[in-house]
Amino acid sequence: MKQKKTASQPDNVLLIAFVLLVFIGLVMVYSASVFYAENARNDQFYYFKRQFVAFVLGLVAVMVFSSIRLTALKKIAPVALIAALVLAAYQGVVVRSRWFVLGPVHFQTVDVIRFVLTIYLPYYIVRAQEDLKSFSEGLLPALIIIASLAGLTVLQKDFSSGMALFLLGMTILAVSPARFSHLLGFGVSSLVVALGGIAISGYNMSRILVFLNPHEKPLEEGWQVIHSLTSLGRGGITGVGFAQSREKMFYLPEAHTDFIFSIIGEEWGIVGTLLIVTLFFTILVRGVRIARRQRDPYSYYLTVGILANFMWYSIMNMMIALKLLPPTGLPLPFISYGGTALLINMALAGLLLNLSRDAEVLETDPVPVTGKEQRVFYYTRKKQWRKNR
Amino acid sequence: MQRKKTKRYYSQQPEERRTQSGVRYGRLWLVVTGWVFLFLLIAARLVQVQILQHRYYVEASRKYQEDVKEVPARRGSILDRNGQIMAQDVLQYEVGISKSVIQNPQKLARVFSKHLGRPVKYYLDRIRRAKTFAVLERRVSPATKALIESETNEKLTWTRNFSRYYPFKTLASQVVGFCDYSGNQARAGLELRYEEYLKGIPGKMYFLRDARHHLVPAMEYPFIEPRNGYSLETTLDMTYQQIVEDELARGVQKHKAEFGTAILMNPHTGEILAMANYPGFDPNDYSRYSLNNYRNTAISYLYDPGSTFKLVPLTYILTHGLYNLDQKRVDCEKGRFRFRGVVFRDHEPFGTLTVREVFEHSSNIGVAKLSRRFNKKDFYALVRNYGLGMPTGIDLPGEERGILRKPRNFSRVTIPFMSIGYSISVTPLQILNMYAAVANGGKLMQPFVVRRVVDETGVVIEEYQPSEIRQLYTPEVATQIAQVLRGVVSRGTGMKARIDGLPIAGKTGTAQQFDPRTRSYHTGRYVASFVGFFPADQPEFAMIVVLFYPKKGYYGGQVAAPIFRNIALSIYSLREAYPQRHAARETPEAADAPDGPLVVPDVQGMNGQLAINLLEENGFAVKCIGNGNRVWRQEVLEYDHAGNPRKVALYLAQESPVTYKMPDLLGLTMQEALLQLEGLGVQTIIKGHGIVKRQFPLPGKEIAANKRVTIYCEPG
Repeated sequence: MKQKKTASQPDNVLLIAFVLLVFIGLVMVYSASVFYAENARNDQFYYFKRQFVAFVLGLVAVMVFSSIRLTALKKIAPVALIAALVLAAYQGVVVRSRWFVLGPVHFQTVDVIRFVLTIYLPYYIVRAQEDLKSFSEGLLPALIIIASLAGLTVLQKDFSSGMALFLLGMTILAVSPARFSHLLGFGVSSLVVALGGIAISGYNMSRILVFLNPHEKPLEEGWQVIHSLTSLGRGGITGVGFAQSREKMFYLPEAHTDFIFSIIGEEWGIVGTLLIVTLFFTILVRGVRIARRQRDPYSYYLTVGILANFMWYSIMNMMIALKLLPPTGLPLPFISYGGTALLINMALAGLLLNLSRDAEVLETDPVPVTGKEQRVFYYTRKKQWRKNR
Repeated sequence: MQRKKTKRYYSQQPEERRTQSGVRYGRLWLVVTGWVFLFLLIAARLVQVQILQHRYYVEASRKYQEDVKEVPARRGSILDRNGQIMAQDVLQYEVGISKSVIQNPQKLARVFSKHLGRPVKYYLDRIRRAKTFAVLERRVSPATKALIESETNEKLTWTRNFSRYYPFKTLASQVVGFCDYSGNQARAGLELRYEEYLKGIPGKMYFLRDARHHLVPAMEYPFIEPRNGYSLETTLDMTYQQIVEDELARGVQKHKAEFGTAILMNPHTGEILAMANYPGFDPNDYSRYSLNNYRNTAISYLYDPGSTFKLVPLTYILTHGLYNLDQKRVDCEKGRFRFRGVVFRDHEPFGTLTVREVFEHSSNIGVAKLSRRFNKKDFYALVRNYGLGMPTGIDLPGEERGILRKPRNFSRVTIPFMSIGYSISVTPLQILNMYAAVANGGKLMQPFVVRRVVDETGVVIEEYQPSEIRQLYTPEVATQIAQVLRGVVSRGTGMKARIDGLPIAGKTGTAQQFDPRTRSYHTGRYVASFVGFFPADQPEFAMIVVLFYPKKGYYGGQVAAPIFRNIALSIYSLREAYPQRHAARETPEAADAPDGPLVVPDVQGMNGQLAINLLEENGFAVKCIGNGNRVWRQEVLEYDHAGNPRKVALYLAQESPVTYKMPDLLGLTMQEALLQLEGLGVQTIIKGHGIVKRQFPLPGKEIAANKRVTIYCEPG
């Protein structure tokens, strides 16, 4: 057992990336929403102010989660999952809305659910271990959890977030001992079920596929795609300048939420968009580095889960803006307007910084894999900690 | 990195042992590879959209994002020879309201009804029928606008434009013409003929349009100032016009004519002094009138001239020396004469007359007999030389050329018929121009209406000089003809035109008109005319009066001659009373132009500083909104208790990213320095007082228009 290093520092590069993203987000939420806020709320700072409140709460979340003990997280994971399932069921079946409202408290449920899924799945994997190789005994419960959370989210009339949850869960399982063939089979069959569901619900597939040729219906389904690309295209290399976007003048819907990336592209050009891409790429690189240093399987899967959160949301959001995916509403982490998302993302960021710190603490000492050895390992380590205290 | 279940973690190499934590790095690499691939895809697509297709998207978006608004140019005015305004652009507003912002339609309609005179229901209907935007009124004066704005707090949309105002209403309406209500599109008359000069070039203001169709001024593009239209200075004299039109109207009504025309002209120059057509129309409200009222009969109505055309045979006789006017005697056959198979009649039976008497009494038989010695070609040439069968070239639109047969198409009776004014169609102006040539000693002049085109500062853009088309004959011949024409008035058919003390030369004309419907010269449709000039010894005016289809009396001498006389008398007594005709006179109806209690000057489009100065000089408080050197909108903010505007808001925009060279102010006094900076529209901050010792920015530096300039002064 190695001793704790003195003054274990979080990953500074990662920290800078997060700070930059949040800062750009706050500025761009203001810039992109100014017309909309002025028009709808008669106050050009309306959305900026609300986002700023979420940012302050997020700072608290960062502080809490960057110093929380992972064991505590592991302990609350099962309880959190049950709470999340109840919440998702209540929202999906009873309320049928993505917004949870209780007096002054109101938040977007999917962000809470993805947070719970991110901390619970690693817990499950660590417990199940080699059982995951068996489809019915190990993998199936996990898949049921993922599918029910995703399905209940779809019932909340939030199809795209349901998809994102599904991707998130599958990504965490993909790095677990579960068999690849099982995962692939389940993924493919889920896709078939989803497509069938779409067909049965009478939703017109051509409405989804119109994004491939938006100029067929430039004023209806094609509108968002056309204006997203126009916005990006207008930016050119250096952009039209801060607050100079014209597409945000009600042309591009959701300019300050799901399509904020396009406004960044218009105002800052490819310099700005590539900066955003680079920042997320930095998170990926540093995140993988942190994951590889984890000696605790739970931490490892948690790291991958957090990364999956950031990666899928950012990649899918940018691909939608670039007409590489059909337009559905997914926020760009840290940047899009949305208090719950910002708060949860900052909590996840805090957690990742926490893990980066732990990663440096535990240089070596791999955790034994199975059965008895592992139990012995944890037992002795626990004793060690108590002694150290 | 495969892991075998049987292997123990401590038996492995450190690198491999990492896998002993149970995690699958291979799987992680797979996921990460996927993400990296997607990132590369995004980056590539960004390059494609933002760099390769940049130009396409910029162009595509400009189509719907940018909007150019025309800043209307003020159309030039039309003035008479003494500077009286006959047509002028007046600033007016079109007012409307978007249905989504309307608060209390009832109240709004009542306010409008109170100030604009239409019933409340009219405005309510307009609001109700509109889909999104209701245009309430098209022409509101600035004063009424201020009153309405003071009484309602609805968000009305005012669009500034000009509308044409004709202070003299029906006077000379067919000559001046008119513009339609919207867009100042010229429709007739001088307005149409001089459209290119009058209309000016509208300015341009660029706007950004949002998806909800709101416009914001675009700072990226310069404001292009409109160039106002040029004004026309005509040869018309509105006092004469008034006289001529009044007398003509009285005559037309008295004799129950269908319509009538009178033209007054300066025979020496060809300047048209008055051109009247009755009935006319009010160009301010043109749509109420029938199309016939728009017609400038004087230049566009063709008729058989009858006896007034006898000037041509008379000229032929004199220029060819065929007969001695007082010695040759003609038998007029007691009023009925069969000639080449056709019967000629006189209005009264004559016996034997001298040639002079034939013309004085206007004997058709006599003229027909005299025409027997006319040569076909020479006669035709004379008619052409007098300018018939072709337009006079007056600068008015819609002039007719007349109908004149070629000599090869002449029949055996064409010359005698034409000599008494049939078989030929003319316009009143053509006939008048012939007599003007007699009055000025044989010169056929080019008639014209506009003598100068000037811009708004008075600089002459174009000047039209009188031009002589040709010398027809010697002044002696002209004098001889004039004597015959004087005889017509003193002894012959034109005696009703006689004025004691004012010698008049003229000729009557009474012509039955060919009716294309019945294809005959059926009785009952006459054109009665009188044409001549006065004073006969020293002609100053040539004039023609034509009444078309009078029902009470039809002889030119009975119907048209008295009108001619009355006009001549009025003009002459006016001349006696006011020898200096060009002295300034007050404009009769200019006071009708919209004005009101206290009007805020219209400064939209002006330089910001100038606008502020102008408003403050006029006693208004000014509030500036926005930065820039160009006023793009003005708005009355506050009114005093009497309802007069007191405080004006100016919305300023940057005209263009103009930069100036910072002038060298060092060593100047503070006042001098401020004068230097004044035109630049910069904000000046003065530290200290006295002589400028330091300045920022430094001399020669480029500065933007709204930049701050700091000067540091020290005494001495």
